[in-house]
Amino acid sequence: MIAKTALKNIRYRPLNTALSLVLLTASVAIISLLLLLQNQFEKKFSDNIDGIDLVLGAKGSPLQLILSSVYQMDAPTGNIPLDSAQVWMKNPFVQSAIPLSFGDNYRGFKIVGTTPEYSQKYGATLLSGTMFQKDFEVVVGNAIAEKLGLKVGQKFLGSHGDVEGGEVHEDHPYVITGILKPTGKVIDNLILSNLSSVWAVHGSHDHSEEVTDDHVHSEACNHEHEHSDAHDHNHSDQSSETAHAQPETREITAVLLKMRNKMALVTWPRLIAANTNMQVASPAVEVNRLFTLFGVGIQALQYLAYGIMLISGISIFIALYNTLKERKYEFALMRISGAGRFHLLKLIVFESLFLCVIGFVFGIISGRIALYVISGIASDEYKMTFSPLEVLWEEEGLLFLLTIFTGFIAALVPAIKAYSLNISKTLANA
Amino acid sequence: MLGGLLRPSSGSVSIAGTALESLSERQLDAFRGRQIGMILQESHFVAALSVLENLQLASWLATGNQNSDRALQLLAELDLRDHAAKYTSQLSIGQKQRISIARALITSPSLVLADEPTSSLDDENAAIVTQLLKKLSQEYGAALIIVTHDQRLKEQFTNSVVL
Repeated sequence: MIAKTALKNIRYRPLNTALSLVLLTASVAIISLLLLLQNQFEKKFSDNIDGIDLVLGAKGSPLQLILSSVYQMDAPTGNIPLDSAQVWMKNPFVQSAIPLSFGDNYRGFKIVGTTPEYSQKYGATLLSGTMFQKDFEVVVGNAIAEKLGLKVGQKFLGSHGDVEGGEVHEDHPYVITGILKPTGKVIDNLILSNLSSVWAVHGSHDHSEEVTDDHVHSEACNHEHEHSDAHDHNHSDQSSETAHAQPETREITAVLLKMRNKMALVTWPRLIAANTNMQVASPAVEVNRLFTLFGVGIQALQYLAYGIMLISGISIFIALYNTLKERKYEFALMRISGAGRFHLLKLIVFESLFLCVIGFVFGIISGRIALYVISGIASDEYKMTFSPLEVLWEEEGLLFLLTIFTGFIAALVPAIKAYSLNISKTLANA
Repeated sequence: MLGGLLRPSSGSVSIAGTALESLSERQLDAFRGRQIGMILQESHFVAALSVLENLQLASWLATGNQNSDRALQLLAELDLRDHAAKYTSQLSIGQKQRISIARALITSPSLVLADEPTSSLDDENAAIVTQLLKKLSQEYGAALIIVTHDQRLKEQFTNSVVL
């Protein structure tokens, strides 16, 4: 009955209630949105660097190298000659090395020249079709296939560069041989081909010879994969592949390295910078740097949200305190009808807590709606999606407790005032 | 003091065999709810609740039971059955005063205290309220104490203490 009366009281003063609710909703929504974004963002970034210790690429900003080669988000730093990369890829410290070569896109989605090992690294198995074997055979990431409605066997023309609308390579149509299962990682938004397709499109002089070379090779490569997934096999594949290649014409964009010896993580960056025209960057280090940069902004927004929560607490307090005067008789009357002091205390605390719970629920819901919208924008612009349905039990539980605490504190003074109300004096002044 | 709102500094107040000053604050609240019905000069209600809910709340606070049937029955006797779902602010003063009576009687108290129950009412409403007070307190077996300077009311009652 007290709870019901509290609810009725909330409804009886719609403006006060609306103000408090809007403020509470806003603060909870911002905080939960930030929590979700930060959490999923970091997870996305960390997921994608699993198994990549170092990235070898052209000199330039290490962050740019990581963003472009690991996350496919930025423009590449430039190309490196395959033969100089080979030297390091064959180093005994290296456990596995996956070469990447960028050049073309199809309707804004990057076509990446690489080895089948790349899809294995992300745990992307085939949903249908087969892995690329010959030149101009491609395997399509799940998100692209879904978005563009691509099927196995379809052909398309790639265009130059990494954005939509570049020069179209009309003489080299790609054939889709397979579609990958969804992984939630960058590979969902990539089109994979072998390395020589990329070289072929960009005008190697002895085109036909390469094709046959690689044809033979990639069949062999696939064959070996069936036997074993061991990295050493793949590694030797690559060396044999590159042995076929004509070094001076072959360029790649970056190499994803997994090291056998972790000491190399520390020594290689200086070693390579000093001795070659290339650089290696550690994804873990660069991503950490990125988070620190982001962190400042996220923290500022969080403080803002806590500020709004404080204001909503004050608003509840003022609303309760203001109505106290007009409700004095109401309280005295309830006491006459047999209500104890504790009943009045409970009534006011309940009113505040109800507001907070409703505000929290609204906030959590609108935070997720906002995330859904952001996810839509991010998936178009950065090929990154966020899940609005994820619940962060620990963080959001804490947020709930904080909201309740705010409501409780806001109700405290008005509740104590009601508790200590002198009935006979109140009624004497009536 | 008789309503248990103030405590005597000396002496004793007993109602239905219970000495009020011996009760704790909490017991006193409960006793007041159950045994004493009060009608005030101006009627106050919980503004956010409907007429019926006000009566239910009063009953629940005193007895822990909402007693809706009795509330509706009382409203019917007071000719206010049609107003049960309205907010109290939508009623006239006379109607409000009648609801106060209903609220005072819903717990079947042994004592009804009425403080100037008719002072803000016109002749017609005063007559109705007086009749109801008399009739209902007899019906429910409650002692009725009215404090008034209203001549219309005094004429109706014979046993008065003039101060």
